[in-house]
Amino acid sequence: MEETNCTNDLRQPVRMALGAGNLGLGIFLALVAIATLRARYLPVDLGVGLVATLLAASGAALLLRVGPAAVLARVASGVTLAVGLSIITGLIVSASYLRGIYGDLGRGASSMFLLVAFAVVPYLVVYPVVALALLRGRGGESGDGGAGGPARGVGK
Amino acid sequence: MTARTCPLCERLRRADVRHWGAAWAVVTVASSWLVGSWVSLEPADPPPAAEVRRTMDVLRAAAEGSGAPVAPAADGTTLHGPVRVVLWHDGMPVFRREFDATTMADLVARASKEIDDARSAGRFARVDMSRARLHLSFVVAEGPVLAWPPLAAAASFVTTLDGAALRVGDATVRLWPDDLLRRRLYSAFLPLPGGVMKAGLDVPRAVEALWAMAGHPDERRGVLRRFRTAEFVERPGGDPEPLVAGRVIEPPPGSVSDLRSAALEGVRWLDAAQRKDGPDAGRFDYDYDPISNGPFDAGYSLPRHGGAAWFLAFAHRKTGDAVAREAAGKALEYLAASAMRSCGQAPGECVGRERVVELGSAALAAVAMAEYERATGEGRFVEPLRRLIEFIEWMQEPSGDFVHLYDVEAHERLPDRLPYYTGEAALALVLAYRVTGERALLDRAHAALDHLTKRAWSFFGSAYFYGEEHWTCIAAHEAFPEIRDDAYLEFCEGFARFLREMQTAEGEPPFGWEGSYVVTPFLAPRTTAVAGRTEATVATYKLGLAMGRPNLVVLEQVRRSLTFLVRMRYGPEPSPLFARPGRAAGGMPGGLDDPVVRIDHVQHAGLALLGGADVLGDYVIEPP
Repeated sequence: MEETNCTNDLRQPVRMALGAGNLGLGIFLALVAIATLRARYLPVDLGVGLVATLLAASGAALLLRVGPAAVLARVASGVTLAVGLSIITGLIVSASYLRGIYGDLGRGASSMFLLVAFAVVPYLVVYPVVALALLRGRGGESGDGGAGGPARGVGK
Repeated sequence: MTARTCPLCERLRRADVRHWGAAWAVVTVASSWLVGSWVSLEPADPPPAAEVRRTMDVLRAAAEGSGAPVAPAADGTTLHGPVRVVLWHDGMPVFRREFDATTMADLVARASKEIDDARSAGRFARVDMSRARLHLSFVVAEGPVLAWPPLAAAASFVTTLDGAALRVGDATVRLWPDDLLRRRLYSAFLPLPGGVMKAGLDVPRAVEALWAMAGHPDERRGVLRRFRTAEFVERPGGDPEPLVAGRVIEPPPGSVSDLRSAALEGVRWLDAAQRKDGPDAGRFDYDYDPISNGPFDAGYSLPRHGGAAWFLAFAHRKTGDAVAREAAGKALEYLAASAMRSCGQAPGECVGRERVVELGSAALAAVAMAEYERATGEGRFVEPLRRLIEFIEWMQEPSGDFVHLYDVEAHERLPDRLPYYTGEAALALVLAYRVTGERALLDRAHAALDHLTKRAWSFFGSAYFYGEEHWTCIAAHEAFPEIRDDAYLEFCEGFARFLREMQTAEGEPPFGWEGSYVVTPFLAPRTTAVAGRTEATVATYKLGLAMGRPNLVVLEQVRRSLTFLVRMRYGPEPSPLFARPGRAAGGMPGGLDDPVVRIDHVQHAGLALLGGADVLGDYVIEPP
């Protein structure tokens, strides 16, 4: 079986793409929190602030080829994924709670939950999963799952 | 052949990724199932009505002192929670006590003794027992809720169905659903877009009241809970009536004559609310709060006055009712004499004394005058109608749209927009044409309808939602056959289809009644939203029928909503909480969470009921 060498070929593009992606997503999340959430609520502000800072810092590090960029990117993606999955879990549990209270969610509330879920999944679940996969070594070479292992496939 | 593999896909398929994903899914599904099960209520069956009646007979005997209380025959029925016994007299609770009885026999024994003691102590000396009503509330389910954060707590109580309880140590204090309603704690927490309505229980105020009832045991921790009740009120000579949100729900209609009767009860309510003499003769009492037995809002709306006059004139045209004609005439005289005026440099006359006058006030006054003239042919309002129409014509833009506000002093047509006014003005032009026969009015109405159904609603995404288009569809129907346009019917059927997505089916939780329009169970169904939209669906069906394309799906939609309206209107003895039940009778409340009757609630419901009676005919109108 012949394996394509796309990983090696994409080292530079992957680094650039992840760098730009993380930086852009970090800025985007910060703007969303500042511009659309009028009320200040510490748990949300802290969570969004942490994720946005990690993503933006790791993105800048990847673009600037700073030494621990890959490690930082893995941490950022891991935290983003954890937050994203927590939000999805929270949405599902909240919907279940309200369904328990009312016996039915109604079309309006169901649509609202779906809209929020669809807004969250691409940025906070799919993107960090793909990023983690790209940052991870091929075939389990750095598959220890920890953030401290060397990331292959990302140029240093 | 060489197999190509994707390293990224390989990494995503790794065992540890699958395991983490599966673990997350299991945790999420399990926790959501646990949470849903934790809060859902499974109400027990309430005691049979016959047994409740026997219990009430015993308790009444104790209250009247008319003989030794006799235990009911079937007394072994198990009770699943506390029971509250209230004796209401003219809207005041003259006796109220909660019992942790285990069976009906236990309840009867304890409650009759307490009532007997109260009577012996002279507590009922000034109570006219023929007007007093016993009210029994059985707790049939109780469960936990989140008390924090406040938004979650506010959404944790089904509006008008759930009571709030605070468990402090071994004791539980309760605010029953009618307590929450009387304190205006339902639909009182989260402001909704538009700033007029709110959603959710005002939990902070409810908890404050519960702590006060518990005697402020600050050293102990309270646990907030919700509970569901089955409630009954005494009905002389019959089985007890079930109560929902403290009120009797009327039976669904059995025939179109029930629809007409309900509309004519609305006519009687408006007639009783109309001032018959003095400087404000013809003006209505704007609203009536049956719980406080007085007005709710000190303001007055001239568009709604015009709308009420329109309904009265319409009712006369449809039924020949003399009271409706008389009241409509007086309401229009009030408009002509007290509200119409020369509008500075604008032509014709407008309605309103303020510096800035509204198109809607003039439009609905014109609609009502035209309807009156159609119904009676008297001719006394033709001239005022012409003057109003002159002003309305002047407010129309070349596009067919209208300016909605006019600053009389500055002679300036203001750019601000208000809902409904363009549709109301279109209807005014159509109905004025029906009276005067002036073709130019029809052309202007045509332009307005083209604007409303084509240009104003043609943008990216316009196929997916609609505004409140009931005036548009009423005007489109009234303009037929002189103005015939397939686009109008398509627009109105699209609006009806959009509304059907929100229409409830019989038994649909949490409220269970068919025909209301709700987008979420967080909000209790409102009557005016149903009534106004049903006016539109009636007009849509009529227009389709006239164009040879009757739509039975729309007809069924109409039937469902009229059933809801008939159930919601106040009957002859609507609630033991009301000081003067007769004053509320025939009126239409704002909704389950809004007991106030307002003139436009009655107007919209009445127009929908009479229009629906026209189209339903022999169609089976009983609920499925």
